[in-house]
Amino acid sequence: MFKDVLFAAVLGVFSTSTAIAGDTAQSWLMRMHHAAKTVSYEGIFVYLHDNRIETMQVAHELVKGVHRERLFSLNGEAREIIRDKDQVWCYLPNRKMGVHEYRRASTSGFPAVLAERIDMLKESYDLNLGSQDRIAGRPVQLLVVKPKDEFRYGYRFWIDTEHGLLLKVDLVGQKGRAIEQYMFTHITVKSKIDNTQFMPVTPKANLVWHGDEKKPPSASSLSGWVAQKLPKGYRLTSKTSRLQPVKKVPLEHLVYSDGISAVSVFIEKLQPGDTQPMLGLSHMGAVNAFGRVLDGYQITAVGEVPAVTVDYIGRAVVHKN
Amino acid sequence: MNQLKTDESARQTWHRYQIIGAVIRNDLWVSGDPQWVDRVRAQIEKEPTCLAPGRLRSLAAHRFLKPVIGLAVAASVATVAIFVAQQFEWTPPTSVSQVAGVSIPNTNVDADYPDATRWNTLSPDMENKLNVYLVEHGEFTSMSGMNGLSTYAKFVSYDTAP
Repeated sequence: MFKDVLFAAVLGVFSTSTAIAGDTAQSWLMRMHHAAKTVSYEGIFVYLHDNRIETMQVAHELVKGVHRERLFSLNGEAREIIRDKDQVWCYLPNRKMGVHEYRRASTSGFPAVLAERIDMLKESYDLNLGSQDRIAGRPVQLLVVKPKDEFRYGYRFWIDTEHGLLLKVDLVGQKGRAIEQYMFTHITVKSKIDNTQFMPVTPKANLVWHGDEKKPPSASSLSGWVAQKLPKGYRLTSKTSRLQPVKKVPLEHLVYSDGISAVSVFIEKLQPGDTQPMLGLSHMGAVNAFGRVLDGYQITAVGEVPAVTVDYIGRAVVHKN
Repeated sequence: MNQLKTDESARQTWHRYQIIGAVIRNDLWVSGDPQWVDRVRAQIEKEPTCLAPGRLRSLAAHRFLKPVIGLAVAASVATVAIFVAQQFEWTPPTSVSQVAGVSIPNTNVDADYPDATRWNTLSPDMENKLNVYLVEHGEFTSMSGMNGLSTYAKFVSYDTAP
């Protein structure tokens, strides 16, 4: 009972429509993070990148503490991603391909944004409030997150002043200008979203699926893998081990984060018959990846960070006996 | 279509209409070359009034209004171009194509984007592996991109049609 009252009180504070006296960049960041975990909504947003614009529909629902979400491309082929409490399905009909994963972050995922972590952000970013504006017909507060070095991108967050939802994001490159942008053009906050909003349009049987066939058993950790040095501000925030579904070999997943940016490092033992390992850098838009081989293990660092960061962390991973 | 093979002028016209169509469909994005805006403005001012439809055409018949209309159209184009150019950091174009006699940075009208592909220069197996890694990584990025939507939006968006 006490918890319920406390939760209601906290929710009341976070969802107030009036800017609170003494609002700080940190408090807006906390409101944003809180809203992402508590508010159900559906809407349409645009994603601008690499001379392209994509329009996507999103439905996100939280019922009794359980999240589900569907992201659906409104242009071209009906590409979509559906997430529920335990699983993620990615439908790519262009390629007749699907990716299926059991979610691991629900229990060990991104660390809660607590006040002390917000303070840690100051090591890596300058946080400043900007002007108030209007996005998707709703009043928003601009929060400018400026990196202090080249190991992370900057961000401009436009946050709904009523619900705390993030309505627009600029991913900012080294020259201080946007390299990608996400922006809602329409959003509706709802307590309940129709089931049909979470149904895929492409039958699963039409695609070749990659990833987990069934829930991967936990594996004994490939203990000893660690990044022996990290760019300033990054810390180990998650470490999980599982069996790789096809080859049944352990796969280690380390996550390093500075509180906003995150880099995943995957470590997998190379097997006879494996194809050419990944060596060096690759990228998909603002996401960079770096691969190397050490003592028969493929080490792959992936993250929405500059190439220098995945290169730095990927090279720093060693096995300590 | 046969004429396109032999007639350079027809080919340019065809290319021009392709680009106009791409603009209408929102397929076309231009790079941040500020001189391009000036070139568009200058070219539009030189265009014959017969290009202006309906009421604009009759207005354009008034000689004194022609420069005003030209500037107004140029201003709208320039506004869009400046909006786009100011929004993004882009690599300077390496080649140019022609539209209405104006040089513009290379576009995607009939070409793909070298950067808008999944995992450049990788084998299909490695690409699939990185796709799986990326989905897994998306679970850990709730702060930086609309509760992880950015990672999934990328996954959906960077899908080169076969």
